[in-house]
Amino acid sequence: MTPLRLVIDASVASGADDRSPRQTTRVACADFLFAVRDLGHLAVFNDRLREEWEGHGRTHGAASDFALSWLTSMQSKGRVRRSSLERPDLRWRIPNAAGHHEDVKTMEDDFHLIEAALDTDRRVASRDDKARTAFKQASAKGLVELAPVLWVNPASPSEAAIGWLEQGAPDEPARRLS
Amino acid sequence: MPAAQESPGRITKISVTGFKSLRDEQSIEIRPLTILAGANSSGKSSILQPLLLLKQTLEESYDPGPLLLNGPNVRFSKMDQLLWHSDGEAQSARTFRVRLATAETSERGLTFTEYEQKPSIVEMTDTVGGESLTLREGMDDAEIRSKVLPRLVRVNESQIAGMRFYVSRDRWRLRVSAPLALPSIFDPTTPSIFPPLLPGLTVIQWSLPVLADEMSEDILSMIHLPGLRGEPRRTYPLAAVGSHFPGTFHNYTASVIASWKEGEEGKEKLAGLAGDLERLELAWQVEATSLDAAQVEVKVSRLPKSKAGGAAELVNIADVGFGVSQVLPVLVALRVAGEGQMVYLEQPEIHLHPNAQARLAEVIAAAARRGVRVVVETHSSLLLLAVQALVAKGELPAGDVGLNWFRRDDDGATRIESGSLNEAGEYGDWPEDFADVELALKRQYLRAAAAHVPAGDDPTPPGH
Repeated sequence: MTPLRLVIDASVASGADDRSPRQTTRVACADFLFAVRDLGHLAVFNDRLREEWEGHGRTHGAASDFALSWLTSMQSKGRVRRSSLERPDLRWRIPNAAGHHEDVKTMEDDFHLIEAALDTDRRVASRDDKARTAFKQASAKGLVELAPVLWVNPASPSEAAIGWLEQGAPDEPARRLS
Repeated sequence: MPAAQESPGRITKISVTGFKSLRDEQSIEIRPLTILAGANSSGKSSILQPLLLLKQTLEESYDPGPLLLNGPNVRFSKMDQLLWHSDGEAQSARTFRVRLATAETSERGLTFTEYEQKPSIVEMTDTVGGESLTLREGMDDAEIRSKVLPRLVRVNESQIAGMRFYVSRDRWRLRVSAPLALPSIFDPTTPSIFPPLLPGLTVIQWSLPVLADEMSEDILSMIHLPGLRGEPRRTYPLAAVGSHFPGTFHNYTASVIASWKEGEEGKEKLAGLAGDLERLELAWQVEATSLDAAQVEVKVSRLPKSKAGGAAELVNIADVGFGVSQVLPVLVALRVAGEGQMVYLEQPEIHLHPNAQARLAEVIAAAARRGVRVVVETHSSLLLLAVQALVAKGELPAGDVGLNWFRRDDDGATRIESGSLNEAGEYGDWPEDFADVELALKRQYLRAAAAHVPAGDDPTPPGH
């Protein structure tokens, strides 16, 4: 299986936290992280995402002890990649492409995930369905560069994220931000 | 190439075949910091035991034969215990071999076998500059003439025409002998790696010592600290302190500290030792005092850190936690070792709190930076992770660290996978499994605990 460079949001890391209130989320997120590691995929971080993982973040809080152990293991195995791509040209167009006013902040807060994904294999794992919906709408309203990005929610059973990973994380239209 | 590998005569690589679980030849490189990791009974100790056998043999005051099996560093009672065994007798080894390299193209190979339940040396190979010379029991005259003699001496063929050469065993040497003596045929200016042991005798003899002088010195100067380092004691026997420490090192710890009371260098080392203890948050002062001609008492501060204006309250080492008495020999060994000296530490982390385990990596790395060649056998994921962090921070050159992972295959034979760290402190596909175990356990716990997680509106705090 060809290793893919995946952008994994801190919401997945915090979802694996043993203090997480929803046990199904905890297990699903932990299983997803295990699958990424065991299937030989790579994790991509830009500075913002790394800060969120390591505990300086905001929306979803710091990564769990489990997730940090996972990250340490991935780093030790040389399976972490860095992205420094910034797309101010796209970020600047967010307000015009937003479906609702409140979506602007939502997208701006998570745009670093899009930047890292566009710089690598265009695959994002995040529990933030609100951001996904906002990005999809923006993509339809002219921010077409976002359309090829695939977005999965590991905590959503219907999305079968681990099965998708096991198949090599194929480019499926239903997972695109289009 | 790491500095410690550049010095002539120092062992840079150890290869072992047929010894205990090391059925097929397995090797480790000796770097400034060499880490041996793997499950229990995976063969970590076995790779170093031939070296320890040689050490205790060289150090013995009487002639113990080719190998002293039962000594202070390793204990065997018969040769059979050293050899690879499998379920099928046919697959058991009758010999074991150790190759000690000192450079890319120079090494000494030694093969031992069982002879009347005792070790016996059957073959020696000396490789210098890529050219090998082998002495083997049973070599015939023709082989000796064609392969051995040309490397030994410049001879006039006519003068040795009627002689018959053979290889004989003499204690721990293999010797080329011939029944007649013709000392005049040898050109004394010819460099020979096998100088006549006793020139002028009436029998021609050259013998290959088991180890070259520099290699012997490297092994004799090796400091060995086993995993079991004895109970803390009120007093320790006084021991002579020099640059060599025969046997296992923990017997010297108290005396070495006592010797550091004198001289600038000693005081500097004592201060460094106190600093190491404080770094590990175990004590901030240490001293050893000779009570009489036979006993030394070791005292450490009761508090782990100094208090402003406070005097040290020193207590006997037997009155503080086990961690102090177990790690003190490690710290002293690393401080007393000179540049290039090899220090072999078996599980230096035992009895230490996780924080102290991580700090211990800093002390070990500091010794490696001073030029001490440190070989660490460990089960500590924290120690390894701390080494990775030191490399990533640029405080330890990545090339100075050698990683060796030991595992047993389905037949029970040891396989060693060696790796290195890159500048980010990553080891790539090296099969280190500490993190795997930790992650798997956490995952298992998460799954098990999930069944007990209270509903979101349950106000009962955990543990009630």
